[in-house]
Amino acid sequence: MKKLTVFFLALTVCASLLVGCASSPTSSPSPTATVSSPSPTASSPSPTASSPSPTASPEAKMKVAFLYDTTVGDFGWYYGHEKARKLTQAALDFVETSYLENVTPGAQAERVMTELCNSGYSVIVAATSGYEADSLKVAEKFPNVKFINICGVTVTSNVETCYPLTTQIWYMLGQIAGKITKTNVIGMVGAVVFPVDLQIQNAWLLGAQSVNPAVTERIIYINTYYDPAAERDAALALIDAGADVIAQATNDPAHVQAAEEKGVYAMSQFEDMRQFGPNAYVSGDVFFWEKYYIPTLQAIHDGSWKARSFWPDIFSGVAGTAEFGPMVTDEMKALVAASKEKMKTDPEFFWKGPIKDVNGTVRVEAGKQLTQEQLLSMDWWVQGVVTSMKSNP
Amino acid sequence: MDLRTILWIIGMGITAGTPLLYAAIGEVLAERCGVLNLGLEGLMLMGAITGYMFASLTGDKWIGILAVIVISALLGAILALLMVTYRTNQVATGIAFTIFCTGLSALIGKPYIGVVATDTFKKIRMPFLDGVPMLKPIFEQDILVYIAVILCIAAWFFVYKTKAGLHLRAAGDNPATLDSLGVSVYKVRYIYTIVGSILAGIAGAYLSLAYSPSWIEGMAAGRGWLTIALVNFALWKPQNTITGAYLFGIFYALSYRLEAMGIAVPSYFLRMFPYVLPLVILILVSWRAKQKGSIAPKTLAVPYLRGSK
Repeated sequence: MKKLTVFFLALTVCASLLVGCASSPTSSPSPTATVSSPSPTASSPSPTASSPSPTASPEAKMKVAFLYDTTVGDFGWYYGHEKARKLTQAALDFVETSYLENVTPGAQAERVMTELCNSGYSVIVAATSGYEADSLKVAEKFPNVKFINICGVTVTSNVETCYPLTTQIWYMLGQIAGKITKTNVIGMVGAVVFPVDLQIQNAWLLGAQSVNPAVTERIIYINTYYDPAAERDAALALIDAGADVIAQATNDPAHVQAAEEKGVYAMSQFEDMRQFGPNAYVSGDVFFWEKYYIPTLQAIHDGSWKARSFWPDIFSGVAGTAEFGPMVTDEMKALVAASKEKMKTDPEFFWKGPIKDVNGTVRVEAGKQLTQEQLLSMDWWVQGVVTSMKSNP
Repeated sequence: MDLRTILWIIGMGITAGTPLLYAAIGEVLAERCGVLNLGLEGLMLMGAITGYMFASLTGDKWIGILAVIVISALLGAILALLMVTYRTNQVATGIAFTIFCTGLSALIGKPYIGVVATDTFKKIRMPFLDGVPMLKPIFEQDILVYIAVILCIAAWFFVYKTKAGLHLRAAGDNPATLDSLGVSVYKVRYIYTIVGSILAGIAGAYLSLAYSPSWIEGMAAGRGWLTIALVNFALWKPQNTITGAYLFGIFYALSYRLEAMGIAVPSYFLRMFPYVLPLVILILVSWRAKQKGSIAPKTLAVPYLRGSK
């Protein structure tokens, strides 16, 4: 039954996408006709998918919609959100959650969000940074609807942003990478140039350089978060260019498979991807979004919620480090443990100067530390990164 | 860039071009008999999930391929029923079919996300190349790469050197004449729509069983659409598809390798770069058509109705 709803959901979303494309901007009636199609299907079949007896409780439940721009079948980013959505649904009996896949950021997302607001949804979780502009626009029109922008930057009275402080994890993973690499080159399959991704890519290299100053990081940006074949090709190109530890900013495990095939190491974001490369898999970050969603939705329900820019750290449980592979030695474990101890009192010590960027310019002077604003607008790479994208040349 | 890197790029280009080659050979056959099959993207996705599903259920990749052939033939027959018998608009039918298959493959594929297939197509080791390891990236390919090359040559021979190939070409260029010779245009169009669909299915199975062995929703990632352009690129000649597919693959591999070297060209440009190639060729094809007359099959995408002009 559930699969069937997902299928029809996908079909209607696709259909609306197509009609939206086919009926060029000139004709107005057909796009509006298609907008309404995804949301009724979203609101009507999903209760059967998530709550067993929709008729049992007459009092209105808090309706929460999760918007995904690709698929929950990525075994990574959205897979994790969807897992958390189900756990959240199971934990809170006053909510009624549903999700929409393949909602393209931009005009389509804006229409879908507006439609959701009009049909009684009180919380909208926009699960990718791409939605931020759309949800800010819609949030302004519907001040009573709460918006959660995952990976967002701007906070307003009804828009909250959240992303776990995974730079802490990636600094520690960098320390392992710096020790484990034989070629002194680590490789990153990047998605797009985006501040949160850049923070992770920079933290990873800073961690590696903290134990092995000779390490450089090569990054290939594939300009999308989801194209498994392109990710694999990028990983193979990185390996051919000498990288022997591969990580990714994209949604899924394609790079782990490539690393396994070529006999090099892999680290991953979002999920434990060990099964895709048992010999290659070193570690990674793993997300437990439900530990954020459950208290947040509870707070919204209780009325105690206040929009914030939320960066839960490694001690919050929202994100953690995946179990280490057998190649991680006790020495490396000790390094990581020491860093973690330090983070208890100084959570982001690794952003302390002196830090030079890829062009040799000093970005953070000795004794100073990057501020939250500087991190949120990060558009530069630390010295030692090799990439085609040179900002501020 | 040294010779080793260049050979690596060519080798990777061949792998990346192989799914395009399968689909392009099939689409050339379909288009030559007058059927514009825009369902390729959907067929690829269905092929990818069917192949992956059966290969992981049975533990045998060849059973996966066999299942792909059966299912794709069925889907091809449905397409032919719509486009040939009921004479539906081929553009609309193909696009609708792709949307349908995208959803269907996602539905079937849900339980296979994160499942690791035990038997997939691996690169064939060639010990006699141990002396010249540089050539290994080019010649150490999986078996499906070699089958695709043979298929391409076979398709050329079939289209130009056999009677059935003549019928195929006639069905696209002058169906009424073919019909008056007593050969059923419907039958010919049915056959090659199905053959084209099977090859598109195998292209999909190549993605899920050889290229990046796993099932991930939407993994065809636009390759079906690109194939349509490749067929124009190949001037509807089966022997040209191999050049087109490999060239695209090589440009594709090159764009990644250049970026790994940190060349100072933004990756937006590098990602766009391989797609410029088909665009340029499409312009050349259209320019050539203006000079010498179009070489596209004369009744491409025109449904045939017996007894009408």
